Amino acid sequence: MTCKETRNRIHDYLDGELAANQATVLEEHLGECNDCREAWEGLNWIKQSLAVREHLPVAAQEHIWTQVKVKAGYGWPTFLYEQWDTFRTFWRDLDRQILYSKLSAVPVTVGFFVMILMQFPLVPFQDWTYPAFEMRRMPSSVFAEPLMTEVEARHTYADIDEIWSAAWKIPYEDSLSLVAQITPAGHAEIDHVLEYPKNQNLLAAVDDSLRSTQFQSAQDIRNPLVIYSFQKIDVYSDHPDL
Amino acid sequence: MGELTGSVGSRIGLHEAEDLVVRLREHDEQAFSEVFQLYKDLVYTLSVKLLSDKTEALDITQEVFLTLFRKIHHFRGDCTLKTWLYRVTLNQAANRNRWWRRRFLNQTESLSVKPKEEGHFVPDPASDQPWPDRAVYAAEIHKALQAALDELPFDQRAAVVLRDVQGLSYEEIAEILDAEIGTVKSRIARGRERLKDRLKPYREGAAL
Repeated sequence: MTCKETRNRIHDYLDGELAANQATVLEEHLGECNDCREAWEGLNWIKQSLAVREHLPVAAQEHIWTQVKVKAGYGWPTFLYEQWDTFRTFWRDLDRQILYSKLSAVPVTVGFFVMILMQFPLVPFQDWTYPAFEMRRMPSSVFAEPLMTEVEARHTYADIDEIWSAAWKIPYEDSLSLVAQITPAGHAEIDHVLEYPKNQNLLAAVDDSLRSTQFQSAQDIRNPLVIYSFQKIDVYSDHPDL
Repeated sequence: MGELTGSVGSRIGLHEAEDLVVRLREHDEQAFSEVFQLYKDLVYTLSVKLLSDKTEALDITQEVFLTLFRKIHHFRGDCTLKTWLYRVTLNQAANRNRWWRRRFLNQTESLSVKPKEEGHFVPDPASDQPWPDRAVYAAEIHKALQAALDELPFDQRAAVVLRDVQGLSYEEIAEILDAEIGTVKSRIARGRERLKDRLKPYREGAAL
């Protein structure tokens, strides 16, 4: 048995919890190794020195017994004493109580930050920059009367899909807003431009797209004024106009 | 010491203990008196060793038996009455310990670090001071041991005291401290090693 093993088991040996064969091996080692015997003697001395019982003094016994009997009887004094004791215990353990309240503050704080984070939309960026086709209101200000509210945009969702496929071809990251009118032939023309794009080619490209697109529901549209707004259109580098 | 524990254990057999608990629940004063006579020294010794203050220990003994009076209906019987009393004592002592350390940390530290100023005898064979006689020296060792115990962390102190003073088994200590047996063993080992290192001069003096 090595010294390390001996030191690991020396406390079990001291407490008589070691199996007999292991104890024999350990005793052999103690016979050979001075350091380990020294350690064992020290620990054994500590163990022997600790084994001293205290005795409750007789006077204290009587006092305690009387006190316990007095305090154990229930009545107003006991009730008041208990209230005081509860308060005293609370005050004594205040650090623990404060710890608990700190711990309970954690979910509250987390919830607070979650609520802040929930203010931001969780949709992907691409969806967030999706161009708005139909702009019935312009909520730039609460007080300013929206410019476009009277204009009814009467078109179907099929038209929106077509416009979208035309707009997707627009090559610049840019924006424009315009009012287009659908002609009896089923195409569309730019009536007037509300917001010019930075790139002039973009306007021309949109114009081309509108002229060449065949709108399926042209016959159904009685008031063929359509507002189109393309915002932050992504770069489409393969486009021939680039 | 082991013989003392054994005698308490044998005097109160299992069904006898159950009967005692039933009587305690019925607030039988005779039963309380019996329990008090049985366990007063155990509780007192544990508190003295844990707190190294006899006044505090008396206070705790009183609190423990008052708890026994008042909270005996909380005793579910999933451990022995003795274990329960030990647990109550430990909790009380732990609370006092916290309370005391928080308020008087500076004072206690300054007193225990410099035992010479307090009038302790520190054995030093090199000096030519007069050697105290056997009984006085034993008392000095006792004092030094108590001071060293006081410097241990509370859980190590509790484990060492339960094992070496009260002579409980590892399983009982684990149940009382609500810890694994391995944890209890390592606490005992570390506590004893520290006590050994701390009391080395006293042991060498005793061997002279």
